[in-house]
Amino acid sequence: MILASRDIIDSVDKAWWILTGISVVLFIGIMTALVIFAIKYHRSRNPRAADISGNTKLEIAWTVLPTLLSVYMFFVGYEGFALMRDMPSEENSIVVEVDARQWAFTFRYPNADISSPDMYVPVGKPIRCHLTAPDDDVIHSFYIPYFRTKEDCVPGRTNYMWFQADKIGVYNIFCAEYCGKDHARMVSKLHVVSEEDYRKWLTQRLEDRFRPIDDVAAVMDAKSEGIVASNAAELYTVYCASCHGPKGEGGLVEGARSFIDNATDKWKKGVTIPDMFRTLTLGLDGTRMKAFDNLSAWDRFALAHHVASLHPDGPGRSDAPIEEYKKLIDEFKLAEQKKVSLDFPVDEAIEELVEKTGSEKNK
Amino acid sequence: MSDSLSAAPSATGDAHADDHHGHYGVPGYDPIASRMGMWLFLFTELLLFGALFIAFAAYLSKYPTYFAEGSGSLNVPVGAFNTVVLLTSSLTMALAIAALQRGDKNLSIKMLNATVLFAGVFCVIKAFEWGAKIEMGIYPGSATLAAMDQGKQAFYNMYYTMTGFHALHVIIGAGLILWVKKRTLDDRVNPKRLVLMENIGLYWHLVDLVWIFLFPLYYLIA
Amino acid sequence: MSNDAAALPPLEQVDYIRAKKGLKSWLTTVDHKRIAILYLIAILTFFIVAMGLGVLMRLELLNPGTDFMDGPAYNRILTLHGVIMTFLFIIPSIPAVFGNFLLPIMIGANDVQFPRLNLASWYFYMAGAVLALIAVGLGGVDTGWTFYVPYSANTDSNVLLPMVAAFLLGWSSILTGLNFIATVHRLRAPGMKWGDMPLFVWGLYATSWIAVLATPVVGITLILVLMERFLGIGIFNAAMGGDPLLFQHMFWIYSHPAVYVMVLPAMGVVSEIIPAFSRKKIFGYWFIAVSSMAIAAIGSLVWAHHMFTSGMADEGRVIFSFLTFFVSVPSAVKVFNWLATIYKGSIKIDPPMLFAFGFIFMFSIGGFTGLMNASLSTDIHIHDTAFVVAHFHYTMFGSTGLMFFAAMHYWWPKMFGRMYSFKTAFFGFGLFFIGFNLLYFPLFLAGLAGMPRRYQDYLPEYHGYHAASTIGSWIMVVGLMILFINLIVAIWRGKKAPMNPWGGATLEWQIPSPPPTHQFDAAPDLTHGPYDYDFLYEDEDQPKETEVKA
Repeated sequence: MILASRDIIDSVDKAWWILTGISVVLFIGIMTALVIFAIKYHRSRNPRAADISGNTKLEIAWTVLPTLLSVYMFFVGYEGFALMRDMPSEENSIVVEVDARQWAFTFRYPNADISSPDMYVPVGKPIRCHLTAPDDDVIHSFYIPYFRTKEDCVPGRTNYMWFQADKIGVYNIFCAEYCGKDHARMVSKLHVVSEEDYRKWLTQRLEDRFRPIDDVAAVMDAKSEGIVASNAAELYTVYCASCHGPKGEGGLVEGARSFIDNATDKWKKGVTIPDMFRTLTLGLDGTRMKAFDNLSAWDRFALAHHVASLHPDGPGRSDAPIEEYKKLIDEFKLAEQKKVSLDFPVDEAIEELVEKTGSEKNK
Repeated sequence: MSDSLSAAPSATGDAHADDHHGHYGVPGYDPIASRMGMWLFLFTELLLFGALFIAFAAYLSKYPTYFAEGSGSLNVPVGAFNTVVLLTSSLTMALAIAALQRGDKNLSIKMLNATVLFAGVFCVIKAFEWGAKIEMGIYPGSATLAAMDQGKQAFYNMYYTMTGFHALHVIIGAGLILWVKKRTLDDRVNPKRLVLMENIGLYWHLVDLVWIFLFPLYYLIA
Repeated sequence: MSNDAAALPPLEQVDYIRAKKGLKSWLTTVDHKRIAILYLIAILTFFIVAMGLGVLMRLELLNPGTDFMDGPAYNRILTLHGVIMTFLFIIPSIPAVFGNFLLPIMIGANDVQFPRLNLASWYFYMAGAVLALIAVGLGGVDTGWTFYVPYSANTDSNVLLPMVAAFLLGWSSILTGLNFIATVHRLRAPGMKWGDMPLFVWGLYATSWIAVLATPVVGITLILVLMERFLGIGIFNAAMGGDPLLFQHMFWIYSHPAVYVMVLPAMGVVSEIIPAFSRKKIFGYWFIAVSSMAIAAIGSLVWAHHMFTSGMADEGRVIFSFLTFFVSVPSAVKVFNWLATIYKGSIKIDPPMLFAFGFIFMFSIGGFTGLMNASLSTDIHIHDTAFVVAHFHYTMFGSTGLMFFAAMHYWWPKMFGRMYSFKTAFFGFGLFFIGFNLLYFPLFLAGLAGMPRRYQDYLPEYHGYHAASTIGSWIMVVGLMILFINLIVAIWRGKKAPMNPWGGATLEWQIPSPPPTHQFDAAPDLTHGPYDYDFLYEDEDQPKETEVKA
């Protein structure tokens, strides 16, 4: 029942070649006739035109033949489409929730409760994509050219598509529906990895995602190992720069805060690292600033430090006493070994996940 | 626009109009062409409302229960009364044309006045209906509406849009009738040249027709 | 002529251009020929502006990365290019200019049915154009010409003016369409049956019906978006229970048939030029006439092929793909009939004929690549990529735009009474043809390789396609400028044009060049049909006309 994506690719390519073949033959025929007639019946050679005004049989022929050809071409195109829409069930596939918003894709792995700005999938497994966009966002389109597949992410509805990678590698993901300012930069990567690497990646991701804040001193220090590991500069580029500007100058969309001006009083939740953490975790109601609670607590702290570092006066102005941090850690229970929505230790969760997703039907 | 439709010159290149005098193609009065122009214009109006009816159908099938509920909140007797008002106005409009055809200008003017009066009554009743809903806090962009279920919001958004567009057409129609009344008074519309009044009559019947569909769709699906 | 004629003053024989002087006489004219000239000036101006914007976009895309336009600027230029080219150039182009000028003449009438309404249409057009320009002045708009919600309901840019502009322009084309339909029905010369009408008139007639029937739907759709922005009535807003896809349906119910509004008149022009320069009856008159109506009818049922990746029900996609394929049939019938017309003709390749050959080339490429858009599986891949951009530029610009230029070259002697330099026209066309194909063909390949459309930036692997394309844009623009300058210079410097420079058989070639304001004193001579060239050979085997050498 479920066919490998190679079959979809082949079917699309086959349809393409058949249509191109028919087109090229007809095109060459038409152009050859045109040139030959233009030369042969040029006025210098043929001063008087023949008296012909039509031929019903010929008309019927060149009406009926293209009609039949059209029906044939329709079926050629339908074939590959049928494969694309023959979705594997959720049990037999890895479900990836694709959340598109201006201007980044976020890939969520619901079975594992983690998310990532790049997509990772194991080779040879059917991948089922659930495509959404927030209600207050705009339409995007999830496009992986290599797999010849594309479907829109529309606010207010969930669309579906699937593919299956047959080769390890890195592939482009584009947003194909015009979505505004950074449409051209709404580009992501699909990493097709071996099953083993996929498991490693998931493990790493899960650990990172729920790593407790066990060391207050570390999150207070922008240069601590834990903070540096988050690579905040890259996170900033993916999640923040399209509105707040690559240097924090702000204003790239209406109302986007500048991180480099001096008016500290206008910051809705305050300018200290714990304040920024709170903004990142909860979002700002009534603005386009969304909650980024899909990032790990460490990532959020790292981002706050990065934003603080953008200010010309130096990060010092964002300093806060240790009590503030402790309050925050209590408030959001950051020190606890938070449980993944699955109620067992991480290792088991991964086992379960890989087992589930690995048990694809090979009928 | 209707001015151009009715009063525009028409060339006598027309094969059927050989009673014309003067040079070939000198402008003349061609009621058939004017009526054809009006019908084409009415097509565009029908399609404009048609698009709204398609949207209505789409949301009705998406939220059938909410639409029934929303429909139940509308006042059927008032809607029915308004339907009668509009139907009567269509009748008086037709009588105005018939009267002018017979050469009875006075009666025609009276009938036009009656039509405008009925249009006014319709609008006032409609305004009270809207007002009642607005008093309850149900109007586009209101917090009350925003707090309702999505299906309800869709119903009221469609309700305000479609009845609003229809009311706008009633107002425009009434304005056109007043205008044709003025033209009738100074005899530029007369028993021999009454295509302008006929055309505006057609427009008025369309406005009526749209309401004939709106009434059951909004008031009676509960 | 009737007896009363003697009592009337003699008809002036001054041509329509010199009939009256002064700007006011032009701005208040109800003469269909003068209104056509008003449209011509406006439409050409807007075309040149939008072409300049297109060149700017291509320049930005010469290299990956941001060269001189950032995302917001590029998106505004892109929207403006699309809005002007679609609403101000390609939709009105042939009907408003050549339809206005020629439709009454071709059916032997002295004007359209509603001349004042005709002038009103032009003012609607100009009002729309002015609003669009004001919108630019106020910072531009960045929704793309399709105004998709929710983007158009959310964007910070000024959507109100361009949408009202599109609404007014829609009115302009509705009123023109209404006028043309009434004209065709009521003003045909005595004795002219439907089957005696030139095919250009058939094309305009079919177009007019589409304009009248489809435009109101997009009008109300745009109004609904404005109501969401300003009144909070979210008919398309997902958060209020609305469906953004409904907008796309309602938008394309109009805008896909609008594609045929654009191409049918162009096909009508081809059907005039090819027989005239082949001196041979058009092959299969009724099949060409009926295929225009068939395209109009089938073309109204295929809109959702713009939405194959939107998440519409799979069954819907299958049905719309199936229907879409059938639009290709009447188009193919036309191409075959044109070829059969050339067969055993007596062909002279003057500039208009060369343009018509160019049309067959470009339209075939545009049409065949259309098959890949109609086909479900291939469309999923190429939808919203550069492939689509190339496809619709081949059909809209390479075909319809080219035929607009062809119509200029065919009827210029009639409109202005002057001939232009053929050599320059050939040269300009050559550059245009090479430049056009270099500009757009690489985009097919880029699209197949996955390059999405409406991108201000791109990954380095697409550099080659974009570089070639940008170079092509330069060549093409030079070619076009040569064509335009050649024509404009001819108005003052050209040799006087005879009444019938090409040996055409339709009625416009029976009246002076340029025509007098009142072109027909009496019912025109209908002794030969619109494609009956025997009159050229009455005395001997040599045509009567003095061949024009320019």
